[in-house]
Amino acid sequence: MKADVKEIIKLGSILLIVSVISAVLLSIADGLTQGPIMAQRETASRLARQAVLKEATKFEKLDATLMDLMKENQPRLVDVHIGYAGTEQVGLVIKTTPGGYGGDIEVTTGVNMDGKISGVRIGTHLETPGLGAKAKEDPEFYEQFNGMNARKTINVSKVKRDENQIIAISGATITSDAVTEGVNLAANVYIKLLE
Amino acid sequence: MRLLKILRNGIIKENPIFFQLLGMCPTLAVTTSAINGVAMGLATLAVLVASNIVISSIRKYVPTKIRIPIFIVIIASFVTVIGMFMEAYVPELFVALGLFIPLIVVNCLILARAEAFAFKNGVIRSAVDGIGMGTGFTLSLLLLGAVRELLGAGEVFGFSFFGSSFEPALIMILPPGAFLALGLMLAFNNSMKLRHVA
Repeated sequence: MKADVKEIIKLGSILLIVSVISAVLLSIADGLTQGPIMAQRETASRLARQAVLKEATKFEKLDATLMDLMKENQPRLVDVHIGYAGTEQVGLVIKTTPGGYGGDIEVTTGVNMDGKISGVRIGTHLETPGLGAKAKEDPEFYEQFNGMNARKTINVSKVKRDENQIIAISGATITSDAVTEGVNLAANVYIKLLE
Repeated sequence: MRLLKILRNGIIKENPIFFQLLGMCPTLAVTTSAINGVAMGLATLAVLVASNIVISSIRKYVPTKIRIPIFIVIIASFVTVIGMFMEAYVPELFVALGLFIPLIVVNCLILARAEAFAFKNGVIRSAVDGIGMGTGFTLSLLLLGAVRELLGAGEVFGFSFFGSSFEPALIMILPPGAFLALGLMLAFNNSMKLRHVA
């Protein structure tokens, strides 16, 4: 009996020591990589903003109180940037995270002052490589949104029937639906903000 | 000479995928293209070598009763570190592999080598075993990924192999294609082995 307790304590302490050492090493690695990871994400977001609203030369985050108000009923809305060319406002860039097949998909949508979608880009996602992941890699997919009317709901189909329809990636309907949902949400946010 | 044998063992004689059938989850899931296969293979290789080295160097202090939880802690730590470094310095690859990086923790190839080799052998031999097994794993994933990408998308590493008239068999990059490709390759492999014996 006594020997059992002793052994349990011994085994437990060894396990504890191993875990503590790994925890320390992990926190060191985290400290080393956190900076570059944040910088990496920020650069990716900035490039995405520029890509979806080409006319803009400068982006400013939407006022925080207004942003909180917009987010209230929209948990999938991440942030909104206003794009300026000089001092003139040229459009909005709206980031949303609709739920895809593997997890949330980061969708950045640009809408210009004419109410037309100026571009869509996909950021981080967990979609299947070779299928859903094409949403990010294949311009033929995400460029379909360009020029669409933000005041009309965009939907997905296999063949294009009207101008606010996009063609799904074959084998990745859920991903295509999710991206479209993100774009539609962005369009709604745009309309609400302008009114 | 012995070390060379360990290396050859991992790459050919006891190839983790075609002979041991280890690590089937990432094998089937990520090989939708050649580049994904290679990236997954290299990430696994790095974890395997690192965990083999650490496990063999502490093997004398690890009580047999709790060796498995200790192996898992060590493997999980390396996977997390490699994941963080990949996100920081090769973000495209990190995004492409995404979900499958944390899953390296439960790749039975790594645990199997820790248990069957690193726990019983010296540091250098264990490192070489990790390199051999990891290379064998990487090459097999590359082969499987290339075959599936060729048939399912008509290209390998982004190079188109057939004219535009070629209609790719999409099923090959969908999950069933993984089983089809792997099954046929294993059958081919076995038939070669049988011929060798006869």
